[in-house]
Amino acid sequence: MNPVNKLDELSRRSFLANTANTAFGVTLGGAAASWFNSAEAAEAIAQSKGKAKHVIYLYMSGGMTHIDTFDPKPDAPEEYRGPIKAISTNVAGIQLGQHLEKTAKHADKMCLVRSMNSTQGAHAQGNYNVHTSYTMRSSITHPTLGSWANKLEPSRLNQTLPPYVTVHTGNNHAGAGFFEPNSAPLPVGDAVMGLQNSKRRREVTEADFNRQIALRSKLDQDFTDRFSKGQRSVRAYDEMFNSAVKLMSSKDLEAFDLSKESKDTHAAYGSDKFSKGVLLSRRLVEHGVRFVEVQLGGFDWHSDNFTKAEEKLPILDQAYAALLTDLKQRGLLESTLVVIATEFGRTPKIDDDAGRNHFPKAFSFALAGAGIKGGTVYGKTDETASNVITKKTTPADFNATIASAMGLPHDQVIFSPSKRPFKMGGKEGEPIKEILA
Amino acid sequence: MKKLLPFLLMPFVHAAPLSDEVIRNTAREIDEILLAEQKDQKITPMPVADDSTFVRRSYLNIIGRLPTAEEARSFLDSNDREKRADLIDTLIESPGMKSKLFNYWSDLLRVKTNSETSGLGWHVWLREAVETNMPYDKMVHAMLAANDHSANNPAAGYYLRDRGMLLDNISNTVQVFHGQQIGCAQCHDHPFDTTTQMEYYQLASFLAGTEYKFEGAREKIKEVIGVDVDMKNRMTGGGKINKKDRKAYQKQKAAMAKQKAEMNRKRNEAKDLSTVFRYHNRNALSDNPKKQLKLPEDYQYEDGKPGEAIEPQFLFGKKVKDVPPGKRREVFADWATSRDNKYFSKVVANRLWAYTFGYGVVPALDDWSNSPDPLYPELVDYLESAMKVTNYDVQQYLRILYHTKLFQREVSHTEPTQGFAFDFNGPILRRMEAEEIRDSFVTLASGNIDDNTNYALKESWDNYVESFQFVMNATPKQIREIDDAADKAELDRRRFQKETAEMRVALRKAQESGQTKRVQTINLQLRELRDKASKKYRRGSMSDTTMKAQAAVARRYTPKKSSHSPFQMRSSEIPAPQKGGTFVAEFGGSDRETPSSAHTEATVPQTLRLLNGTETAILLNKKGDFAKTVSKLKTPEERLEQLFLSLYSSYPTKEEKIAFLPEVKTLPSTQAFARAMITSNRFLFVQ
Repeated sequence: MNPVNKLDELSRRSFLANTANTAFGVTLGGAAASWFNSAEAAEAIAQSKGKAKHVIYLYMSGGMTHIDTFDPKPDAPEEYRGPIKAISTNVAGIQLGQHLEKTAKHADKMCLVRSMNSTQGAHAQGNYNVHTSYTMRSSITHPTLGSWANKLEPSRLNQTLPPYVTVHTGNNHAGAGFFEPNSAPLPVGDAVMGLQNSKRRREVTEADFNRQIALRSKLDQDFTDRFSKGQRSVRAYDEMFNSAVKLMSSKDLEAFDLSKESKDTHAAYGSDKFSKGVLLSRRLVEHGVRFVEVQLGGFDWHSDNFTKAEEKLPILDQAYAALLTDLKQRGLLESTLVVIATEFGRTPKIDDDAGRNHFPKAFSFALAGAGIKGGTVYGKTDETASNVITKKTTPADFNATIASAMGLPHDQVIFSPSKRPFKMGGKEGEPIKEILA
Repeated sequence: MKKLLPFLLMPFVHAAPLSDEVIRNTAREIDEILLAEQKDQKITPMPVADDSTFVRRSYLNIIGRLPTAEEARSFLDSNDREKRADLIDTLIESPGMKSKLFNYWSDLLRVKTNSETSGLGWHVWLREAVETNMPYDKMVHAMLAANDHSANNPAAGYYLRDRGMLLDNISNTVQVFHGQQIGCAQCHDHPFDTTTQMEYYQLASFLAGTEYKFEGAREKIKEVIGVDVDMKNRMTGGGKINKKDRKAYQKQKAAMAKQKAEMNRKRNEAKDLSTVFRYHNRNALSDNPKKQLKLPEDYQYEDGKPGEAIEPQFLFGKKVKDVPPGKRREVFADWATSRDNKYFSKVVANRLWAYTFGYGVVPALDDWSNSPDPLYPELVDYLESAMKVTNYDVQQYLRILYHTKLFQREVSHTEPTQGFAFDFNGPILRRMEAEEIRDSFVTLASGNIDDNTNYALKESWDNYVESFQFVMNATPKQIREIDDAADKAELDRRRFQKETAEMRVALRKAQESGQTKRVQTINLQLRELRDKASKKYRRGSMSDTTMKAQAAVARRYTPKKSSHSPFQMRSSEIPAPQKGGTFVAEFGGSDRETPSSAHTEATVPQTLRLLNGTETAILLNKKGDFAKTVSKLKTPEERLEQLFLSLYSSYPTKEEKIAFLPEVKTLPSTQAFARAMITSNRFLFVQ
């Protein structure tokens, strides 16, 4: 056989095989099937009563103060509570910090977990723990929740959009961890810009574009033969390439286009970059994306806690309240779980610079929507929000709860390439049954 | 047992750059240690890579960009037997090497160019340290022992980067320089490690005296008003009051009242004058010997009580006693950067090994205590001694590594498994770093621009320092003049802020109620207001004195724009971190938030950018060098060769010619072919 023909044939076949195998993590056959124990998972999913088809995960980066937001202590001494007042909500007996005025009207949909506790008091480590259920180790990178979800049960909601999107997350997001690259999130750097470069350039004809794609695999023939098997990073670029090409022809690309939203809707969510991210998350969920994370940074208030609270919290308040209203109106709240998480709380005692420092001993998360009993509070801290008194909850427990709300087996073991066992709910995470609807 | 006495341990004194002989012998010994171990462990080394793989790798690994077609061609065509060694020695002396190394240190140290004015100073200082090849131990010592205003000592930027977060700073310090993860012990005893919360606090207490305060301001104000109003003993003269002598008593009382009034006036004046220095505390460090670190309120172990003051103690190695309170940071810096420090030398030696070959001999660069054991412990020791013998000369140390046989081998076919030591049968295959892809594009479009330094950053910093010195040397009269101008500017600024804040509220209301016309009007007014404010700021009615003092008095001093367009500069010349959405940020360039946050993970937006983004379009635009050169070539053979040399650093093989010549018959088809090459893995990865 002529070597050039052989080159052609091989490249065509490998190209087709790659394309067929990839649909953003919807890997149904080939090498990937071996690491997905489908029978076991299917059974577990059938048994569960999960209601959350989608998750919108709002992450407050930097460590959001708990005592000024979800766990106010109006009766604590001044040097703890500071000038922020507690306000009533639409549920008798549940109070929030005064900057969460709009959120207070949605308490009936929310479950506040006030008994969060972890041992991770540094940003990177805390962030990692909350996102992955594991503590940060140098020997392995654990997958984040969205990747877990698609690993345990491949999303079939939309075949052309990625099942997991992150918005405004930084460089340190653990993403797919040790899972294969096809479970990695699609990162959107700026919600307003949406997904850029998703259209073929005008000067490039469709025929040229197709030729270019075919040429790429021909050029990479030898490289692929040598490295694809042994190098995850090489497989990742092939995955992403095929995904990108597929995405370009998706009918749902407009999901990323915020200009399709009315002025009123934009105004309701707010004008901050975060507000746009939250609005984008709703559009994505509407179009079948399963897990969307949106980050809001800048919560590390070592000084001037109260000035910063006044600046920052209304941004969260407005976008979050708008999201819940919007989801409810569109009938999406029954199938969408909305989470607010952060790496740790802040020291309840205010320091000399009017600041609060890192505090993993007690902090608060919030859940709302699908699969969750609204109008509830789970767990309790002492009179100064310094110690968890009842129902101590670890990030692993919390993540196991998310898994259950999604109908996923939080304790199904997946082995890493180094043959170590890992679970979505961490080593010992247990779902909080009493708040699951 | 050690098999051979490493060449490096033979006694000799190092002064000048190491001779070629020493470099090559040391490199050879590294290979010998490796080969001996590999033989024992039955690991087969990869064969030596071909010339095109070598030239591409050398340019990317040493100077951070692809070779140009000419550079590749001249290397490939040379018959010189020493051409590989010569290429390494040439590249290591070239400006591109400094560009790449600067990116590396800045990522590790989290340099933010525009975080306060001190960020700019630190950036410029570090750039110069790399430029002049300052020994690594001196560089680190300068940062860890830094004190004073950053205008006097820009290395203070290292602490100022983490203003108000000393506890975080110290855990980064030992992670970066000693490979120790102690972050957990900030709140509790480390669960996997030996570090206790007490040890954490003992270490952190070396920094306890650190204050973010500019002492020089007080001195200068004292000089202007002639008295130190901060002094406790403010009253002078008077003496004992004689109540018997009524007249004298009255006189004395009047004098005292006068003195008191005078003192109050001066105190007010001092307060007023302090506006000149109001932003200097953001850019200065000082040391308060009286300040101590106390255990946190929730301290739960028996070895200490909550609120107890803690004496400083080293994290490992010899113990220290009676640290003079005024010298705590200096003592810490001495310990941290000492040749005898258990980790300082080997951590950097291992880091630079990973910089060269893609993975550490000790795999967990930042966490030695929890790292899997290296396969070659003897190599770890040898590299440590090499680092010491070069006297922490990073350039020479890297030169040794580049001269090894290992650097010439083909890359390993399999990647290292996270959590396991790697056998180094060859270097690691890696994706180009974000800056390397960008800088290669820039080079393709504009040719070799490694020399294009962004002098604007240094000039801006020099201007700031000059302005600072002018203020510090100003006469009392000048200081008063500067103060008046600063007060006025401050008033203007506040008024401007208030007005814009009000307008923004109005704007939001208008937006919410959908008054399109009103939104437009307010936007227009806002723009006018901004224009007015900035014009006033620029022109104003400034005297020579206020003009000279302007930079030093400003809240933040923004560097000037470079005379080169960004597309004619290496990434290292651009203020960092690069903003979200830029090419470098999209491809995983460091966000400067945590040490070494740069990554090379694949994402869909990256691919979309290569497929449809402006960078590829610019590259293929006829105005650029690359497209121009290709379009001038007459035959498909020439075009194919040019494309292969430019993007793959190789001539096309016979098979490739047969396969691809039909693809470059016309110019449009050549364009599609070049696009395909740019998205290919063979382009994106470094073999």
